[in-house]
Amino acid sequence: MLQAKGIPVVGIDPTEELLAAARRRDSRGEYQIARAESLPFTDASFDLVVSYLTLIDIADFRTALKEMVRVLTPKGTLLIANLNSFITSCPSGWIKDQHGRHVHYPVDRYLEEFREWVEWSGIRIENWHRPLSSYIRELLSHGLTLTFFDEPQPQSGDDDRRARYRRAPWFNVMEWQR
Amino acid sequence: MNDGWDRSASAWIAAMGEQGDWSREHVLDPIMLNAPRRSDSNVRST
Repeated sequence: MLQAKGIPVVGIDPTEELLAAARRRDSRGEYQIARAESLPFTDASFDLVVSYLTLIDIADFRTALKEMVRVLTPKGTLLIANLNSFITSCPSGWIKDQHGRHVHYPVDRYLEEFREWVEWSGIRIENWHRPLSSYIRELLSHGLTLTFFDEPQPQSGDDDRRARYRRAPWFNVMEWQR
Repeated sequence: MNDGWDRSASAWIAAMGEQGDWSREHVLDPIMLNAPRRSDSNVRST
């Protein structure tokens, strides 16, 4: 999507099959196998680093954030989309009544950090829950400045799903400047 | 490292389709693509 806006992109992922899919869709992009905890780039080599729903997948998120900051240029931007921590605190999701209606979204063990295996649509992956304060503290520890924050609402889509999303929103978006 | 991604990659690609799932298409992509102060030079995406 960034490439379509004329922005040259370098993407990394530790899973070869996902990289192959990225290369098929974006032949102009540069996609490398790598882990966020050990980025194969020199210091201060990017004006923008994007973490698009990756922090919940990374066991050592503190090292990953340190690496993301390391490769940012001075005044560069770290753009993060992440799952809201109250969502990750209860991966089993909505409590429904006997008619299948969504009653409420539970929160549990919020202030702990823990691993959960989540499954849907044939996918089974490890996710990590941390309270929002864990992420914020770590980002602040690198001397970054928060320049943008949002809990975005649906911009389109069917009314029922939009209404349910507003009851228990999944995401937050942050921009931090080095 | 066994975090499930190697075994789940095919199902993930199928689930996302061309537009991404509902939440990406209708919630996240619009704000991520219009984030303020986006650089127009080097970009790294994880």
